[in-house]
Amino acid sequence: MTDAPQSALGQRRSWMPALAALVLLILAGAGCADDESAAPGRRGSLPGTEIDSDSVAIVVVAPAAAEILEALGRLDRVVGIADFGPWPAAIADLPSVGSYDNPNAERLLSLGAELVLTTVSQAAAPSHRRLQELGIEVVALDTATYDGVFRTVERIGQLLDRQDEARAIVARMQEELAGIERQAAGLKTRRVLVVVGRDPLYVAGPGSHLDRLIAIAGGTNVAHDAISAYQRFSSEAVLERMPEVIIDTSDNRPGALRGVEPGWWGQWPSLPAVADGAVYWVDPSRLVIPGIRLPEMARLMSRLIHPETFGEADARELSAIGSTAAPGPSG
Amino acid sequence: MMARAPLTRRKLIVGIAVLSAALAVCLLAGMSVGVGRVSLIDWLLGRALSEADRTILFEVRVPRVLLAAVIGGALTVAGVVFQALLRNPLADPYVLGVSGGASVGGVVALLLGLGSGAGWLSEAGVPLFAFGGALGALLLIERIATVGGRLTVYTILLTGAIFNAFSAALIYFIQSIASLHQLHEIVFYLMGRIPSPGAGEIGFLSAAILAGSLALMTMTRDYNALSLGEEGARQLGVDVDRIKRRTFVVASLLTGLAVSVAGLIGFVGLVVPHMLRLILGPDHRLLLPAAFLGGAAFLVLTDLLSRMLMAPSELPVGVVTALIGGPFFLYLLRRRGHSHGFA
Repeated sequence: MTDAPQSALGQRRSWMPALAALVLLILAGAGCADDESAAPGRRGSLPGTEIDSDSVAIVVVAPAAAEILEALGRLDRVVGIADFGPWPAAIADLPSVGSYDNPNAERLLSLGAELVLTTVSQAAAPSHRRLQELGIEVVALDTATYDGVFRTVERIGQLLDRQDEARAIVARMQEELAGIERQAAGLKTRRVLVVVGRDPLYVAGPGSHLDRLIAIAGGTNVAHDAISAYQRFSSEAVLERMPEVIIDTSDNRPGALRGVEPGWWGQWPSLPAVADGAVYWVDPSRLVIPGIRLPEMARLMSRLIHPETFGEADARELSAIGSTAAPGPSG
Repeated sequence: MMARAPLTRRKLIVGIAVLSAALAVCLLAGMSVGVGRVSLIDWLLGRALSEADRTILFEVRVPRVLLAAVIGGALTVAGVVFQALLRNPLADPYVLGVSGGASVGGVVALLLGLGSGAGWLSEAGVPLFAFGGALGALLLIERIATVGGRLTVYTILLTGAIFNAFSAALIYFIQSIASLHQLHEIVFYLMGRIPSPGAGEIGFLSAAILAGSLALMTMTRDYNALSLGEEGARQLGVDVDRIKRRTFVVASLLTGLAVSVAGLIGFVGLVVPHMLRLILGPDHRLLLPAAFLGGAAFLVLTDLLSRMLMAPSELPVGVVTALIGGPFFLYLLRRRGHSHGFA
């Protein structure tokens, strides 16, 4: 069969990165630091590495991590990003290293990357290991939970010698979230549905940060009994549970519906959210990926659920982050 | 080859009556049981229904159950005739590459963003592109597989397999340039799901699928003759080439319709034909109508399970068809394997 020469070629190729990694390891003269065991570092260097934290070349492939760098004032150290953003304007024009889950090692090396900031991903774990073998430090951030986000901010602060700033940011985030929760606690809870995909219907379920955001902002998630955080969900259940607020984030393409409009949901006028004009089409970048903007997300959520108390959401708050042309609200 | 007793008029009538009753029971169950508490029986008994209940019943559940029925019927009928035509027990509606063309069409539509926004294109764009892809694949494969004016089994199978592999590569390519969000949409689309279409769509699909299935049922005697081999069938006076071409085109159109609307739902078109062959014997005069009824009942039932097993969450229906269909088929094969039409 024709397979034989191909697989021989494949085998020969697979030696190359391993060889390169070996050479690099010998040259570096240092083992790879396990990112979990990184000890609090000396000032001026990344903990457990020989990298100088003032001149480190960072490639950031997770937008959530870029936002943390921005808040810590360290975007100037970024030399590369990944294909899909949204990215802060200051780094949006930097070269891309390819996809988020499989950054191109050659591009990383040619950019002189010393540190890659990404988020925890099972699929990407092998490629992360390979990069570590090539001498590039990979820090995978856990942004799946609120505590994970807080730890992540402190961790990046530690790596980049901004410990105090990081701690202050975390304290402020926690304070703001608690403030919104306190204010919403006195209000009548509303039934809320957050949609992340429409065909088939996918919704935010228990364990998602959106489920928690709903609770903080004074709502109850009508999909709270789904079997996982993001779950294919029965439209019959939606119709029967009568959500009073529907937040649809199912589409992030340019030109997608934004604002207060029934849109696709208008076909079901019996839904209270449709009848009361409380169907919001929100860009996913506003709500879906947790990170340093959690307090902002909670504020937006509170305005969508309780506009009478927290104020109507501005049209700009519903469109993509960084988009200049905000569609006017209608309906 | 036909180890079982030949088909009698009595067996034909009883078989079709039993399967029709089974389908009716499945339809009633599918429309009566759902995540919403409302049941078709409430409506049949003339109980007052709230507006939400009415919506659940007539805009979500009933259209979905009806769609499951016609798609299950189409896939199973296509499976039976492909198995007969190619004289290959592994043939299923997806073996000829038409499904690959439909998938590529649907995925391209998703990449172009046709499924988003408002307007008729957001509802019909993806299925229309998918059906276009199916038609393109059908024309291409028909042309390539025609050698010396004849469709040969060997070239049809080979062309289909290669076309499917080619389609898979195209889809991987599209996935690798799609955004994360589009990637999710593409994955869910390819997994297959049964939507709740509007009345117009249901009417059109049912009419088209019934017409196609009936057209195939006019050739059941020819399929029986084909089980003797192409030479044998020719000696019996069957215009083998014409039958093959017609069957190929009609069954591909049925498959294309099913895939455009519901994506790739596996197992129905492979396993249900074999189950029915094991139970009813290989005579296509009974097998083909039975395939429509049995396939419809099977998909209605598996869709019901996919809605209810983890309620209010939903499972992809293809998962349930495989989990139910696989073991049940093996059980039948162990018990009755020797009378199998292909044995």
